[in-house]
Amino acid sequence: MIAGALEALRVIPDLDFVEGSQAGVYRIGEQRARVAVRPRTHEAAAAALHACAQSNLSVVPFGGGTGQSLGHPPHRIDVVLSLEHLRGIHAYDPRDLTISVEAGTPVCELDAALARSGQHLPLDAPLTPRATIGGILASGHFGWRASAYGRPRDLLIGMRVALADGTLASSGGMVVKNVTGYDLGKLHAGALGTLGVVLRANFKVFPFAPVRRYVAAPLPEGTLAAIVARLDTLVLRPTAAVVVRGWDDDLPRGETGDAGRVAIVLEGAEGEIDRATRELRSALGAAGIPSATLRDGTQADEALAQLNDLWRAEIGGRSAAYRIRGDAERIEAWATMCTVISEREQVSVDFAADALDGTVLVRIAAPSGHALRAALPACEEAIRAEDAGARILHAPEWARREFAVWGVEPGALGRMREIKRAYDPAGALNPGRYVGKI
Amino acid sequence: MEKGSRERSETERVGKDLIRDLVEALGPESVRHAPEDLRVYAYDGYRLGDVLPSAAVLPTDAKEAARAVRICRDHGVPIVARGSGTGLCGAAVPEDGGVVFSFARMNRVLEIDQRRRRARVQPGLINARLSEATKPNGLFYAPDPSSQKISSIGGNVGTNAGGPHCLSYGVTTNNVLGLEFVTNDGEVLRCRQDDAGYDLTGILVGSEGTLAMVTEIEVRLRHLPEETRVFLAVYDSIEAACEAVSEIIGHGLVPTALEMMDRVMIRAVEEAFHAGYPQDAAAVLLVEVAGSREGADEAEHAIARIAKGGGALTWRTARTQAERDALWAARKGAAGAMGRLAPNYYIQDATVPRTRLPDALRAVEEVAAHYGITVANVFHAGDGNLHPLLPFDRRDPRQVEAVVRAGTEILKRCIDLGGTISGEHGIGYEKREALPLVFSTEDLAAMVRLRETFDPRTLFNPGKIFPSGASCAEVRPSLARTGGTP
Repeated sequence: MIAGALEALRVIPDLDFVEGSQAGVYRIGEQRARVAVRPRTHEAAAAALHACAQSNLSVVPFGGGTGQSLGHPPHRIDVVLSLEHLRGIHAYDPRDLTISVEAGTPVCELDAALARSGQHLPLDAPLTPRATIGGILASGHFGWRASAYGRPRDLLIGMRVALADGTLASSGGMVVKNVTGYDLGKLHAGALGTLGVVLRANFKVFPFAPVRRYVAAPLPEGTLAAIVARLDTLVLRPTAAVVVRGWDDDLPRGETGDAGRVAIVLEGAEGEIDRATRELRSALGAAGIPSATLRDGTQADEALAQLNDLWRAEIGGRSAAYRIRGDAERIEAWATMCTVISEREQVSVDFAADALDGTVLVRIAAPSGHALRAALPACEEAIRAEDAGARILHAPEWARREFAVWGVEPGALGRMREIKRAYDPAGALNPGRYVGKI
Repeated sequence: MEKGSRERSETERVGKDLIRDLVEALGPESVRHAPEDLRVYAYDGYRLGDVLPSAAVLPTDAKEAARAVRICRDHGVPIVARGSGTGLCGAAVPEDGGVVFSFARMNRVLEIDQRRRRARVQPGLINARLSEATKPNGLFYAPDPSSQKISSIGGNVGTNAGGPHCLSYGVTTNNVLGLEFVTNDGEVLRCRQDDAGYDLTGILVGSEGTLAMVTEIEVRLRHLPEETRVFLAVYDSIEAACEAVSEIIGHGLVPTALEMMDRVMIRAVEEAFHAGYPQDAAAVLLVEVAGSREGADEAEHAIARIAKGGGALTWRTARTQAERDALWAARKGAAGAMGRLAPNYYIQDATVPRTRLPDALRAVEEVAAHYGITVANVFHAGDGNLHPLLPFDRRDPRQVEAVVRAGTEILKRCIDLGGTISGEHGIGYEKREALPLVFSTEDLAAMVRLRETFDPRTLFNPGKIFPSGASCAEVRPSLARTGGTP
């Protein structure tokens, strides 16, 4: 039955078909694919999707694989649809401040293309050498500068997707302002490929600010709440402000204190950043933080990239991460809770919080997968008690099967199920992984 | 004949039952059904009162709105949500009877969350009122369509409205965090960007009331900038002004607004407002930068250098708040000033990639010249969003025909330049037949599928956004009814 269905895939033009160990490189959490297809054209991607949906094969869209531990484990993994051949810049005129890029393009390639023209796209994606544009969009990622620049969904101006019925559907365009037709890109951004497969995305981009500065400071004991409060009063707003506790293997050593560290990104004109730096130093001083390290330009970019990588810093099989919905005023309470969990459950807890909008990232790690299995249920309970909407960003498969990985079910879940049925009636796309096991 | 009159009396009976049920559910003070009361709901900035609704309801809360939606569903009549009726594409006017939902009585700010910089508002709230309300908190709501003194936030949500300042702050969809809405079944639901699951907020904003009825909006507020500066650069050619726009953007500067007007527009505006725009100029560029003092200084310096080096005839900074307000009031009143040139005007809303602006303006000029129309241009240059205004007298069918043809040709030329047919006004009734110029049948099918999910019986604002399937010839006579006199 499956063999016959796979035959239909083999004959699609411009579609690589691999199976066995060759397909095993595509890992979805703890599982490996047995069959993978790699379209070389949009048409081949749509045809593959259609063939799978018709034959009742499930499809897991695959970018760089950095976000594959997101969501519930799929009910079935029949075919991985890898976007790796659909890669490259489709259209880019720097003077238009827009770019069109194929979904399988690693984020770092896009960053490099833009940087050559002095521009950037502030997706704040983690693991940019591997993470792809399509994957970042589908996963609903947003990073530390979202309150300044908007989330990826806000930077998106157009999209082309392949649908399960084998059609290619575009929405939006290559203009920065557009209300022509439904904004379907927003539907697919964050949908984890459950409604269609993103093939191409268009974004508005930004010129690099003349000065980009990364300020890092160790936090002495008892200064965390004070600095969070001070950051909120700065007249010149940073584009990112993150308080961090833990993550010592992931961030520069020697920049952390008893209460962790704070990292701030300033972007703007020279005179502006001079003043912002002065104001920031005085805020740090007033909060009892004596010293700070400054990095500018590409060094600042690299430091920010390390901070972005925290979003997907998975420690194979023995860590779990949560994204908690924000309120800057509760950051200290969350930090305290992390300490309590760490001591009570004998796990290491790394903590990072966006001081501008309150979004919190928590990673819980144990010495072994077994130890995590023992400790995580209590951690999960403690976190959910404070924020029922917390989202699990990665966790071992057993946890993603048992826990409400997406947080509390939304009131409009029924409507969402209907949307899923409309676009993917056979339930071929990433079955079981999404909210409400859609 | 007999059949016709039977149908008519059947329609009248259904109409009476519908009104009776609405009155029973909402009370007589919330339901309008006398023709003289309904006339006002047949207008917007595009349509001129040719189709009356069967009734209009004015709910006071979401529950009432939901109750009325259920009644409309049971009677199988169209449901058309309406803000202030300032829309420019006929989206808020019923296409074929039905019930108009006016949010005039749901017009309050429900909550201002100073610390988290958010507000919850009702859809009937006038846009400008929100920033007035949040000003004491040092905050403002960024989307500022030119109609902001009368247009409602609910209406802005419907069309995903923009405005001059969306160049740096984004359009409505970038500033809406969550919604409460009534479904086709009369269920009241909420969605927030931060909720798990599909981004219903992102889908509902800009859907012109075709998916659900929005009854509450949570918006993002921003800190008022420390410093705001407004500059005026005057040019002897529109090309030179466009070149300056490209240079400003290319220089890595993103002003908060970058607006342009051509000679015809400047004259009309100046006669109406006396704001100090030079009447002999071929083009003026209105630039606003906002942020820190230092940032404003540097931006002013750089933009002045570009303007002067690029052949600006004059360059000046609005020194006082009064001067800034005067320049902005005139710019935002540009469409109104057109009343001086002709009894009616037809405004287009195409958007092109920024670098194609000069080509697009040339195309507008060529098309207008071909039809003997004196076009006036006012546009969001920084966004590539054009607003050519085509003056006409709707009493003259030849003029009507000319602006309709010219309008469609302008849209086609802009699409050829890589642009699209609406940047911020919406598709509504006006441009629905032009949608296939931009999107393929497959693209449209994907959109219609979403609509069918939300509203399988097509009761929410039927006849809007999507082409009727009829030929363009059928649309033409209806456009003769266009031309809002603002």
